[in-house]
Amino acid sequence: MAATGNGSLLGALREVVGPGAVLYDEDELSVYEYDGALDRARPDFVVFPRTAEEVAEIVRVCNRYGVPFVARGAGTGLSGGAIPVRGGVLIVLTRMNRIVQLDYPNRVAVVEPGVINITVTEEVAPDGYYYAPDPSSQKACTIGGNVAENSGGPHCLAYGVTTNHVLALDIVLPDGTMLHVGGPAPDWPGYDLTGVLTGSEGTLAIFTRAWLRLMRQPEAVRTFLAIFDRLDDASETVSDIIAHGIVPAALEMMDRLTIEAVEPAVKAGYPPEAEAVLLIEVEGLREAVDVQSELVRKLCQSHQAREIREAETPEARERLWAGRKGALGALGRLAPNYCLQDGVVPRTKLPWVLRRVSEHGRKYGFRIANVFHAGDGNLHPCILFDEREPGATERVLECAAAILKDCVDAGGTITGEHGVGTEKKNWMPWLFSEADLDAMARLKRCFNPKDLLNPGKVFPTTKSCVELSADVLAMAEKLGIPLM
Amino acid sequence: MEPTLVNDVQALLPGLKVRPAGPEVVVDGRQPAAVVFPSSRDEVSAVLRLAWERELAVAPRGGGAYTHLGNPPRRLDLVVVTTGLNRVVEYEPADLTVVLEAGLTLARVQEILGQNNQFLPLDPPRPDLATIGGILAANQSGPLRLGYGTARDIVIGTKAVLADGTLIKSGGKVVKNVAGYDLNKLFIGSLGTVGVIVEAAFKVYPKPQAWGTAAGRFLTQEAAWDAVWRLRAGVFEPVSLELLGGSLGPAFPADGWRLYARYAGYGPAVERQVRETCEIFRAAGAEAWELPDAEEVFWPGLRDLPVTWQPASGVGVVVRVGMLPTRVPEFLGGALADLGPRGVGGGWVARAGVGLAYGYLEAPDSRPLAAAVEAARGVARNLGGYLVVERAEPELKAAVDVWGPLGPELELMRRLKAEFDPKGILNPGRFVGGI
Repeated sequence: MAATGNGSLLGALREVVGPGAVLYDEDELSVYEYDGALDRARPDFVVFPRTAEEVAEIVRVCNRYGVPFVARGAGTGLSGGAIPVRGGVLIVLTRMNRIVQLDYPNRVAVVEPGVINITVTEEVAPDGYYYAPDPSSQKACTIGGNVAENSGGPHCLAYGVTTNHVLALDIVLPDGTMLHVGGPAPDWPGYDLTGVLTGSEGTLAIFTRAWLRLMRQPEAVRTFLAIFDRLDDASETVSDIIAHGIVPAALEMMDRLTIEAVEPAVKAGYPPEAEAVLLIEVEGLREAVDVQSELVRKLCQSHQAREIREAETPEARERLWAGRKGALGALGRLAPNYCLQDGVVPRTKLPWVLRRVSEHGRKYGFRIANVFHAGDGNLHPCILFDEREPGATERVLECAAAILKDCVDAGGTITGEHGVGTEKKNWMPWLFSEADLDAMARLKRCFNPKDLLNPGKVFPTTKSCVELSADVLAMAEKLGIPLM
Repeated sequence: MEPTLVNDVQALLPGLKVRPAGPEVVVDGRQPAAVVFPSSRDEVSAVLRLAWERELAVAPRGGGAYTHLGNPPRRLDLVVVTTGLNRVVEYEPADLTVVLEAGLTLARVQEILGQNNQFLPLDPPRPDLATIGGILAANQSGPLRLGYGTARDIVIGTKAVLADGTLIKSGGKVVKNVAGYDLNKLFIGSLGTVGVIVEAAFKVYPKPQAWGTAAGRFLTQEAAWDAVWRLRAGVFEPVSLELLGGSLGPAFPADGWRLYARYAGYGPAVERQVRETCEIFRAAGAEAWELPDAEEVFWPGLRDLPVTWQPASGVGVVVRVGMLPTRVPEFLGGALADLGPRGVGGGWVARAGVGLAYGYLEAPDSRPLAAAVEAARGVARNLGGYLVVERAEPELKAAVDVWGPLGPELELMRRLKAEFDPKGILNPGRFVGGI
């Protein structure tokens, strides 16, 4: 991009949002070159709109100048979804953080995209409600990002992921058109645009408002920590609980390495010498919770649980959960870097795939911590490494690929809730044929025909030479290499 | 033309079962030339490739339970019946997932899952007739949706044949999956206009141990809604909550407003909820009781009503209205006040707590019905909702807009249709905006 071009683009952006809401200084931009995954790329500008109209106007400006643009929330994403791989304008939505309406009789919350996930639940909890999807990053991540990535969380086992809780959206299309899709009335006539937009990883539209389903807090909740001396026993307990027709509100598992990391950091009360713990929560009407709790205890015992503890107070429950939700942060203490994966397998394949994960760890020479949504078969192997070690990053990605290939071979998938983004896009052909990917490309063309919104995501690089050469061009431009 | 098409199809696809179309596959008065019965997804693919090349208009069809939905087709040459795709592809009960071919009836699926004490928590009308593909394409649901959601909440993977015969898949067979765009959502509710669903994977659920239903007869609509809101504000978890008013045919008493709250789960929890719901009903001035044989008689009857209902005399129409749940009482008040003077009778079933209401309306001839439907649509739209005509005779469909007007999002839907079916061969004209 020529300096003069940038200059006038800067002027146009400032005109939309005001001079204080545009960043372009190299140092300031560097904060926005990464998210929770490994890939990095620096935007040319960062803008902070406050209204949907400003978002639409920014998008129109970007179209005028032919520069790519990417929407970003809190930057907690784990697949590179908010990384501007071709530079351009990063539209940060954190200032659009109003809860517009809470409508309890209809169980709907209307929020702006920059609202932090846990804020929704905190707002409605005193009145007896909550918002179900609860990613581990819920204290930081935004609803806009959750909708874009179709985020999950521990409590999605019983209540479904984000897509099951989004009723309607206000969007800005990549050409700057503002649109409302979906109800919130149920079964709005026409194609389910809300459904296809949710989980589209910021590549089809920018969300400026979301209608979320609120849920009523259950009458009773009981939370258990089951402690195991063998990893296999824990994973077999998970399969057995599901097979017995119990769908707990949450069914989470952590292995020894995770426990070792969590305990000093969070002091959740997990026994450091255990090979695995299960965090099991059952909720609902009190009679149902009692029946389920009994059965859960029995199944844990039949799989040689060393001990089963129940949280007797809300504080004790909080503490058990603090360990789970703080696990990733704590793992950061064990090594300078980690690579977190997000494979899913059919639940009965869990014991097998966990054995494979530790085999891969041994083979590639990495310690791998396992912390995951066991009830869903959604594993989060967390590969610990040090990027300063020569070749480590490449080997980590190889190790991750080997694990995810196993997940696919077991009938599962490469990502359950984090998204494909940049990181996993070249593994998409393990799951999808050319024809499948072409069908997805057709969908993309309807929304984002010029590919200015969040380019370089989801679709495998190898598939499109145009996309590949654009990546090369962008990189060459960044490095100052003249290509033509 | 007709014998030619049958012969042509047969000549090109010798293994395929092809017949001249009879009256049983007529769609809204439009007679196709031929009907084909593929027995595999490859055969579906071959048929669509042929239709694509020759630009034949195709109507996919399962058991024919929901062919009344949508506009009359703009053109129709070939009906593709999917009931030959009737295999269980994969079922591992301990995974709580199942992969099904699209031509299986829901009743057959429930029978298979029931052997492992599992079920699909989906109760659209006529499960004996309706196929998995038809239920998804028409996005049909029933009273259970309050507790369990709809197809979009339990489908985890889809295979479909696109208009040009290409087989594609979306999702997979695990319960969480965000790899790639969620095309499942595109197919669900698309009424066969973007592809023919040939396979679908579902989350399955453990069968509840017990069921129970509390029934209440209220003197006024207001009193019944009062009970609805009191129930919804509490911790009870009704899986169905239906409010019936007016005349709905011989199976349903037409004496005031009746509210039915249905519970599922562990026995003692169900018993307490039914008991205390009856108390809530009584506190709102109703006569209340536990409904015996509800699962065998009442709920199947109510589930099937959108398909089985017939006017007592004259002409009938079934409409579906959607809006925020709290606006339904006002809608019903407005619609009811309007119907009497027009000479239109019938009844309403509100899926209370969901925000849907089904109207079963009848009149001596179709003119007052058409006017009543348009007036009710006006009331619904003023309340932020919509009205869709689900079932009507072709002459009534010609007089009213089946889907009603859409907003600017229609343009995006047209683009979707153009991308996935640029020649417009799949169910042309039947969907929103004439898509």
